[in-house]
Amino acid sequence: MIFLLGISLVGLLRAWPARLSADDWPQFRGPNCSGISQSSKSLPTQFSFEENVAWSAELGDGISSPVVANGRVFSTAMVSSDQLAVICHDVDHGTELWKHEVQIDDPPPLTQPNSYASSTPATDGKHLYVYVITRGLIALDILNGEQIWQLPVEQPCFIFNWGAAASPIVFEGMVYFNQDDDLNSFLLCVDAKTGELRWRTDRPEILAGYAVPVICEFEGRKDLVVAGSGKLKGYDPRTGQELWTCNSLLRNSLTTPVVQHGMIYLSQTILGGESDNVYSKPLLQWKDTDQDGRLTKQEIPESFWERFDRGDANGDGFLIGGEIDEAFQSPGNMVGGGTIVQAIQGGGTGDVTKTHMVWKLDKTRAASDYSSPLAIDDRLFLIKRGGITSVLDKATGETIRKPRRIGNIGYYYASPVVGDGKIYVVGENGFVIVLANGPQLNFLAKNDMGDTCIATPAIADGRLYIRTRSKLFCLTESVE
Amino acid sequence: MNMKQFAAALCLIVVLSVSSSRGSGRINIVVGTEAPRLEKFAAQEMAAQFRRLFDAKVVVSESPAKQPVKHQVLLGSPATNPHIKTHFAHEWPELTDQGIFIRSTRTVGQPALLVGGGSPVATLWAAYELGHRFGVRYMLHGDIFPAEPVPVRLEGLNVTMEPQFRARAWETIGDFACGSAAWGLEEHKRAIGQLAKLKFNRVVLSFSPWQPFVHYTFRGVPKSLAQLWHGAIFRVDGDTAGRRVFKGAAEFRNPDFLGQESYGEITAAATKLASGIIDAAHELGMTAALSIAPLEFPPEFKQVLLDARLHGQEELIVGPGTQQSPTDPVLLQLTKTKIRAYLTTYPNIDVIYLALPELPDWFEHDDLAWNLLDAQFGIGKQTDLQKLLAAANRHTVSNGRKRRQRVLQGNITSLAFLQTLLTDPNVLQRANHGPVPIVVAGIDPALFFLLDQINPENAELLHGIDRSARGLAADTAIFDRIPPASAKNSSLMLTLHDEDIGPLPQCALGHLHKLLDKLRRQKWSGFVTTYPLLGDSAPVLHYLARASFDAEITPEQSLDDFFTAVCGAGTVASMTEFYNMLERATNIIYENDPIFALPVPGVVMKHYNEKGLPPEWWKQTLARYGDAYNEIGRALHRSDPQGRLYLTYTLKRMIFASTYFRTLQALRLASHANQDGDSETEVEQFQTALDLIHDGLRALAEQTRCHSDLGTIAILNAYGYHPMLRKLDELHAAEDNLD
Repeated sequence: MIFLLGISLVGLLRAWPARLSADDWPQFRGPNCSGISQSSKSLPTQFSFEENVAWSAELGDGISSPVVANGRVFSTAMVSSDQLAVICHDVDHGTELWKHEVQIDDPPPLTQPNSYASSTPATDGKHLYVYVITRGLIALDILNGEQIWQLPVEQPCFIFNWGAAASPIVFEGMVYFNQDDDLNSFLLCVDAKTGELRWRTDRPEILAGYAVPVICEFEGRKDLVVAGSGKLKGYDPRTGQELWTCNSLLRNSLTTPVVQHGMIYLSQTILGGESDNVYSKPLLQWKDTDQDGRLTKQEIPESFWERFDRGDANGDGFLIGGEIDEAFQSPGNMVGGGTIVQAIQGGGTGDVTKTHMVWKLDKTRAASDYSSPLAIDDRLFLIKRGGITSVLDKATGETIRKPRRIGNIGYYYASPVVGDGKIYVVGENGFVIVLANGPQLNFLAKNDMGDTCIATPAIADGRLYIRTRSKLFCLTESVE
Repeated sequence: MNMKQFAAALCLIVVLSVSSSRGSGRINIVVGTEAPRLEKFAAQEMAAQFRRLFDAKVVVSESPAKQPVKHQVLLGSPATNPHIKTHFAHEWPELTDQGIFIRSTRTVGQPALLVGGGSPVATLWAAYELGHRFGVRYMLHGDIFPAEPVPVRLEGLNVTMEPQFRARAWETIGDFACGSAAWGLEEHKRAIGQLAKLKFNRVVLSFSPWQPFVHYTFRGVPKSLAQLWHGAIFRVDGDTAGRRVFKGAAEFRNPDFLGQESYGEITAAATKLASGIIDAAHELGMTAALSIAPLEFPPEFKQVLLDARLHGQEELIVGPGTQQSPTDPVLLQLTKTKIRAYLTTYPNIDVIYLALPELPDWFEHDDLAWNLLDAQFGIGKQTDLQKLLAAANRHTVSNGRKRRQRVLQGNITSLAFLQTLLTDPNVLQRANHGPVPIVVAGIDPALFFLLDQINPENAELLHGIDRSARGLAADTAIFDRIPPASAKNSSLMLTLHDEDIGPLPQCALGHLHKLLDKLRRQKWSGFVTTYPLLGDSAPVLHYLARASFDAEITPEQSLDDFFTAVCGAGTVASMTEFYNMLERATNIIYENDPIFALPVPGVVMKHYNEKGLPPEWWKQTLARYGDAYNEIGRALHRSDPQGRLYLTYTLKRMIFASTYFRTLQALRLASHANQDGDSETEVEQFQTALDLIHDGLRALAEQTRCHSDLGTIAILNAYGYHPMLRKLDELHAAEDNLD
């Protein structure tokens, strides 16, 4: 009885809304998308889908990351072909505390491995902010999953049906949500308490991408930094006003920059060279169904017809050659593909391309493709397809460890995270490589989670959370 | 509730349901009260299709509606539906038992549609044909319906169809995990249901001697081998590319064999599976057949056959050796025991195919065999053995002459053995069913001109001649040797997806068209499709189904008919070009390496072990696959929603094809670097190869439809990805030693 009372008291305390603690992991990739756990507690090295599992839970298909706050872990999953669920588990035992289900009717198409459960929620310890493709942004009470507010957000349009995967963040009472697509890219600021739209800043020159906004504090100023096509931009988080732009990025931003001490680090790999600036090549390859070397309106989705008209300068009903570029990308932002790693000093004003670029690597084999870089200590750690890792000097970009394999084939969509001196690298094939944090990346373990894994792990309070395509695992150093 | 109350409630439900009928009104399907089971099933199938096709209420009844009904279908024939007999017998055409009739007419002043056939199963086919004409397309894995309901239009139809080929058989089971041997009963049932819609009328279960579908004991030796696919075990745990599809399983297995470990358990599961397939075929009006090679046994029987020879993949087959003559009593008794075991296990089969295996080692008894055949059939009046063997020598290239001659000698010996065997009237007896009819399969083409003599009972014949449709189409003159009387009893084995090309996407549509044209002109009975591996089936099966009843249809017209309905008219040009490119890629492979990707151990790594740079034809094949990939990509962007899943599946297979060739290119470059002593490049290229094969298997895993798709991924892990991982470890270890 005393035991039960103890549980209920703990539950009551846990149920009381609280602010976030340093051990929490409140959004995609933890505090400010860094991938760095603030906790000093030990984390497991050896584990698997059946070893050192404190608990596990069947979720349903999904690729979003778990987030953790106040003794609860939150996940999203497709629990049926047309139903998304936001699920809350107790961190100690994995007990499902609540489930909030949302109907997903007639969503726009997407391309695998994307999923309609792709957006990672964010929390301020009181509400959970979730993006749902057919609803927009919703805020749920973290105690019971009840909806507090909803703000409709227009659905994104991807010319190649990539599908949505943008994630919100919360910062100083505001929810920020960046949605870069091939039609109407924009950045939103929403009052976290009420759901009221505070401002919206359009990003008309930006093509499809998935960068999550990050906060860069430099000399007392806090900028909202978002990577996009060709440009890294800093915004005033209070007004949405663009403060600066660094025009050094590639065509699409699939990764999220990381910030440390006012310095912004980013890594990108985008198909094609500098001259393959826009979509004309793939559009003519795929959409030009009669292969006459020109596009008609009927060959592209109706949602892009306005863009078509913009590009069809001579009004002949065809997009030919440069007209395709004009239609689908901003004339002033014709950037192409490549491989880059850059360090950009935050806190600028206006065009900082020449003034704030601290170092940059072009055509580098080190650049990651889908996973974001990890800035830890004085190093920048990168992982890309094939399990190829690189370590660069954060200050100079010089190579500390040249690209080398870590012994696990395949793709790396999840971004690396670090805690307890260990770097966790999750391969799409479901193997988690554990490396010792250090310049030589000593190999510690290769752990099998038994299923495909796209989601970036979470670390909180001595627990490692790994979300495979179907399950959530809570892993600890030892299980009693 | 008593019966009256129940009946009243039922009437109320019916009235309510009728009164709530939707926009296009009600469709009444009338089937005869005493109609055969298949016709009543046809009515239910038609009703289910109509409910999806039309915005209408559909009712199946056994009498025409009392009140005028806007749409009425009369199903059956004058023999099975009294209403048709009374009112429409005069306009009913003369049909064979496989003939189909669909005609719009009027009854009691109201429009009506007659749908029927010359037999109950033909009526079922007529119902499915009607679905086809309303836009439904039948694939092996399910139906594609038009995206939106359409208004009911039963007017203006006037269809009479008779088959061009009366025998339309589907061979199943086989011995590859990437084929239907991987299917559980539910998957077989689904496929058979779809084949019925495509008017196939026979299912042939093809068994290898070491498989677990039968048990027998001979002279104290029990059959003890029970393997589904050459004894291979496919691990799918750990680092397995695309392993998500295996849902945590450690080993890939046929779903009906999960948990079955002992010989007895495995044999029981296999027997249950095969019996279920036979029952499923019978349910849909098809005949069911077994196909076995009487002269092949599992290796445990080597101890009872003196000098028996082991052969086949992994030496899992034992056959007669030098000391067994075609009249060898032990061999005859063992064969009888085996055949009896099959007929006892499966007493309700309709036909048994007795395949003469290729036995070039069994050549020594050809004189005796010839004499036996001559004594029975008098073939010596037409030719003699030496002439035949000399002719065989002339017809082949020099390095294959000896083997060609021995194959013929072995075939003559096997044929004589079979004739001796069949003199025993008990061999083919089934319990309560009388003797089972036989199909003799695999008579050597050199004996074709003698077929009328050596097949006096007019048994059905099945001719293989060449594994590939391409090989067959290259020399159709060989069919001219078959006398017309025997042609009428002959079916041709059509390989739709050649195991020698392995799991790579392939197409033989053009060659199949040429072959069907030849068979049609020579009035052959039909064909047996063989499908050891599964993949790009739907349009090919669609063509075969349409061409079986339509002498004029071309592959292009068939593709148009298929893709207009499945994906929309805007995709037809791209998909026609796609199949054109796929067939060209297939041809290039055949021309250069006819067993390029046979899914056996070493299929991938053999290219690392070979010397030299990647051959030019790989690049050409890759280019054709690339063209095909682009075409399907274009089609996908134009496709109607209901066809996207099919196109996406095919697109993923094209990605696999491309990465497979690029994997081999990288392996060959690694091998080349090894010969140059450049270990750094070797490792780099080897890693690239691993990345590529991983990508290819990942692409396959993104779209799977059945266990044979999973089997493909399992096999390519076992024979490609896993050995490559092991080799990479070796290369790294060698690097470390150098360091």
